[in-house]
Amino acid sequence: MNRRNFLHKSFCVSAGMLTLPMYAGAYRFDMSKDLIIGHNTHQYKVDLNWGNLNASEVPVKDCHEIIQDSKGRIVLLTNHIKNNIIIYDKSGKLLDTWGTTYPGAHGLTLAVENGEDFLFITDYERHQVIKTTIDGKVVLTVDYPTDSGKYKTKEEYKPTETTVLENGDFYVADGYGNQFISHYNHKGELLNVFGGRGTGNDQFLNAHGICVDQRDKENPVLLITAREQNVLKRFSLAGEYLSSIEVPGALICRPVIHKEEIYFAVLKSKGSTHDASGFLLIMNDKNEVVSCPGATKPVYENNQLSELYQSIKLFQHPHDVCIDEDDNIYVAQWNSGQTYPIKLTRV
Amino acid sequence: MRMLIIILGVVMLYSCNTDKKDSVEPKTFLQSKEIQLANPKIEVDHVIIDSSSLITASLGVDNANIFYTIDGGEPTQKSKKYKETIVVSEPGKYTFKAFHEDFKPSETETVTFYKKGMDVAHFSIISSLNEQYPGQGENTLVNHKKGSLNFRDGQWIGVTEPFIAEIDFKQKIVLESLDISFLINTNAWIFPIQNITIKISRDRDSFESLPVDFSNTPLTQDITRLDNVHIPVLKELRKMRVEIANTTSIPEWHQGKGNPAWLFMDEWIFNTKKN
Repeated sequence: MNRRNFLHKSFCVSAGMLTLPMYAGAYRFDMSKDLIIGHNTHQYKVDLNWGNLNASEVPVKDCHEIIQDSKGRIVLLTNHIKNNIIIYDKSGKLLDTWGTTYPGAHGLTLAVENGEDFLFITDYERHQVIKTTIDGKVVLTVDYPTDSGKYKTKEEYKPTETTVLENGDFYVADGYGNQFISHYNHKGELLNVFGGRGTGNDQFLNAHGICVDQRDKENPVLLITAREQNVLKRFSLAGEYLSSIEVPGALICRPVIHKEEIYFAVLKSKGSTHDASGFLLIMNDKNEVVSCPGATKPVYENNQLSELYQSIKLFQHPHDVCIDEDDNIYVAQWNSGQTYPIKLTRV
Repeated sequence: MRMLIIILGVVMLYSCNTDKKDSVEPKTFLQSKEIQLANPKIEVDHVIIDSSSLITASLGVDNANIFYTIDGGEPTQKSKKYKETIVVSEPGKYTFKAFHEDFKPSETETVTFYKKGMDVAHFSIISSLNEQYPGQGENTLVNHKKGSLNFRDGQWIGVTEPFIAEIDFKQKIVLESLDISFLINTNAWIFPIQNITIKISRDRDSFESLPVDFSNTPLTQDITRLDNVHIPVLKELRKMRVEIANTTSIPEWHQGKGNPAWLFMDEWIFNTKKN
């Protein structure tokens, strides 16, 4: 390369370096103001069009929970008895619907047994937990635990969530009823009951969600939300209280573990005068809050998390989240004007 | 020069496509300008002023600004800008609103400060209290402490039937006005006062009715807020009997339609010239 060519190319490169950020910035500023929500490593763009359907053909009422099955499909549970289950592909295209007998459809959990997908549905109006095949055939129905001595009538039992172990054992959280956690074997035989309504460490106000945390393979534990108390509680599989993780201001619904993080829909902000004040919350592998899409940035002072609250009116009453293999989030909402799920694309 | 123009063109094109994800994603993402800011979070140490009180306002969105008024008017970006904790020493209505160039402005958030009322010698609750929400008994409504939005904070009396109380001032006073505070939290089936009836007595035995100009705008959607009824009195009196009716039939749009609603009251402030 001769000197002339060198100087020419150097000038062009310099012009490019100077021009690049200016135009890149200008383009984003003028042409694109996509809303980006969340904090730190977990930020998202928002797609309100994902999964919208013809409400006269496939209606929803409250969208309570949402999961991804082994085929990668997105499965939504609503309490609309025309179609309690709505199955989408990841693009939001409708694939299938079923279910007309779950008026209080609330909790939806996937269980995989010998390579086959099953669903656990809790119905607080039927006061039952129902296990079905992925296409809706009922294989097990569990009534309220009469032998436990904790319930006088079935009306006291309003189950909100289940979680299933690899051996088929499952736990039921009675978040709208007497607040007990019931532990069953795979046949539906009661093994243990713990918890109950109260403010003690091992008790709950609104034991709304439950999941088994197997991030530490040697020490699996149960994570149970005490939604009214803005607390996530850790229990052993035998029902012994271990510890609490406080999330001030956040009415967390159920914990959803994806990779090393825990994701939550937050129904609403505790201190808000505006009722539709929900947001999402994400904890890292140390159970520290790292991102709150739709809310204030999580800040710890002296190891205490400052109170969280909604900062933009995007979500109304988010009730559950599902995270796909690309880390995108699908958000189901309660009491949101019969809207379909919202998709968040990670950026 | 020609080469420079070509390179600049390439750079500009490249600049417009540096974010690969942008170029392949559908352009259906929600825009910031379509979204409204949430209401500013307002924190107050107390709203009944004996000497002074403090207000802080926050939102937690970068580059958002909060403006406020102290006359009940709607804040604009020409109103006072909130910069630091406000010291309040006089009764009044503080209204806050958040603005941001990328988002729709928030709705307003209002806090009303009251002058501390007179001490009441004898406050008797005639109707029966509900076992779930008795507050702190007869003292609850005249302890100079206002309840928060949390109806379980112990400062609220909650009833599902008419609430009747009799106040004996033990001497003749000139009562200028009465403020009755209540909570609205429709999700918890807590609705506004439906009706107020007041009788006053100058001699402790014979009562006469005091006209009360009270009306409510029917609620049409879920709401949570603190509210207050201001009742001018301007009478000399010794005793007072107040009957507050709860909403007897929850409106059609609510899941509790047709049922009686909860009525939650906290502080009653008796205003005289002296206090």
